Amino acid sequence: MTDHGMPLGIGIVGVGGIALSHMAALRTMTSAQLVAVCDVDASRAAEVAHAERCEGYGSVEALLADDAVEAVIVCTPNMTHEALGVQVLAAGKHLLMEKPLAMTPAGARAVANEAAERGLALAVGHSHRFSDQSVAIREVIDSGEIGTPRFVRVVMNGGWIWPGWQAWVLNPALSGGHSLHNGTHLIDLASWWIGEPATSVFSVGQHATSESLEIYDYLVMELGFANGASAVCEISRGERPRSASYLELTVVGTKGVVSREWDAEGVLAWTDTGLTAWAADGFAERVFVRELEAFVASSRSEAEVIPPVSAAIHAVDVAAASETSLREGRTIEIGASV
Amino acid sequence: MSAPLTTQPGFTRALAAVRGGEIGLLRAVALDLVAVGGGDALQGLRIEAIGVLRAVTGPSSVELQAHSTSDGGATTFLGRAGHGVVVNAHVSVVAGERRECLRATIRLVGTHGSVLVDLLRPRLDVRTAAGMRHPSFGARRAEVSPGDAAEALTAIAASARSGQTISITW
Ligand SMILES: NC(=O)c1ccc[n+]([C@@H]2O[C@H](COP(=O)([O-])OP(=O)(O)OC[C@H]3O[C@@H](n4cnc5c(N)ncnc54)[C@H](O)[C@@H]3O)[C@@H](O)[C@H]2O)c1
Repeated sequence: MTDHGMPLGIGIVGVGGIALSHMAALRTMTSAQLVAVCDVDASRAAEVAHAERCEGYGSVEALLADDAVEAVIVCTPNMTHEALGVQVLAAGKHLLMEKPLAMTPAGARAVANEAAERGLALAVGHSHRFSDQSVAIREVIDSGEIGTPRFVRVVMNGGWIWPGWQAWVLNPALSGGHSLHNGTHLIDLASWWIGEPATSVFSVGQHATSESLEIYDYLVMELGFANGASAVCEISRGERPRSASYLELTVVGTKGVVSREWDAEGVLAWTDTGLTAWAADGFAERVFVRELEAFVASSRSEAEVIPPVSAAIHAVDVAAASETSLREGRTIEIGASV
Repeated sequence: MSAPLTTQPGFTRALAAVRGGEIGLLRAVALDLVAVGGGDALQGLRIEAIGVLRAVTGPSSVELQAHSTSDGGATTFLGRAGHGVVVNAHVSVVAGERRECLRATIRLVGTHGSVLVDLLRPRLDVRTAAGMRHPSFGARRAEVSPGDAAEALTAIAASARSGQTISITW
């Protein structure tokens, strides 16, 4: 039983790159507390546990057997999500699954069904929903000021982030390809802002960094919607220079446009490296704190989960169809291919 | 004086960057044009979009998928030009009294860098108690020049209707 006066006991499975962001957020929160971590690399788990002053386990089973763990954040590679998700929920723990929910539409539904049957909270880490700018754009849409949205452009282009992109990300069999690995973030934003699920996807990709890559590090997905709206989602990890970082969020409605301008960070700097726009501090930290606060609230049945599970499943459906579109060079109807 | 978008100074500077190899080999182009006006504005805008894209890629065949809203007020397409360049554009018109575009941007992505052009700049930032306005200066924005994009536009409309990719030449 969760005692609402006490912080929610959180366990993290897989303490690699993104777990650091969750741990940093947890340190600033009073509604939740990191009580345990585990990793297949037991020494890594022990090292993190020592630094975070929590329990460290070398197996998921051991972490799930810890009664102090009421909810789990799964931060492991994408190919493990379905099995680990079902395992965590079967152990009676609430689950925040890092995106994507699973690598296949069937896998996403298997995890969602497990949560529904057990009455447990299932959130998926579509963290961009929690950014200041994403929330502000949604507020403008909800106000009616730009009319009915009929086009969304989301661009997240960056340079190569080696060694952040470990071998598993580059292997489509382990990551699901770029549509699933990063594309799900953009798909989620686009359908959230348009206000309904996409009905088709057409994608083109390039091996921008190297022809020998098996994933498309540069990917553009065009989504179609039943109401005639469309979205172009462009994601790249292959830009040069490597420091390149370009974010664009635009929604065009029947009455106007809302867009996050190129100088939205508010700081333009001329230095020896040329003209650069600097981001304001604290942005990334707020995203993860908000995501975790929302997860805690849904675990305690105080709020609906964000995004709704149906949206997280939809993101997997579209991403899987996008990978099919890349392979077959044609437009894929959502639902028809899965 | 008005001039087509292909002569906008930011755009021509960006084209020079592509031709001069400043961003390496061109990999992708993204164009957004959102105008205020009536239905006639839309046709002009579409022609202009094709003209701008053709200026970037050169004459090319393009395999693309288009989408249009049922009122025809908004069109989007994504495709791959013959030499592998990813091209995509969104063109729409917001009903209202004709005035300056709400949005006009083009982004050119190369193998070694990229360029983003706000086609509405250069412009002034005038803020008063009554509000804000941004009068542009320099070459006046386009009254659209008639182009020879009719065939491409017909094919784009057909792709939007059928939900299938088509091949066009511009
Ligand atoms: N929300 C975001 O913006 C965001 C950003 C980056 C990554 N992610 C997601 O987070 C997840 C992890 O990505 P990452 O970049 O941190 O990966 P990573 O490779 O840096 O870390 C993964 C960790 O999980 C461990 N691990 C692997 N299999 C395990 C298992 N079965 N049980 C326990 N531990 C296991 C590994 O040893 C490693 O320490 C991925 O699903 C990724 O898509 C989300």
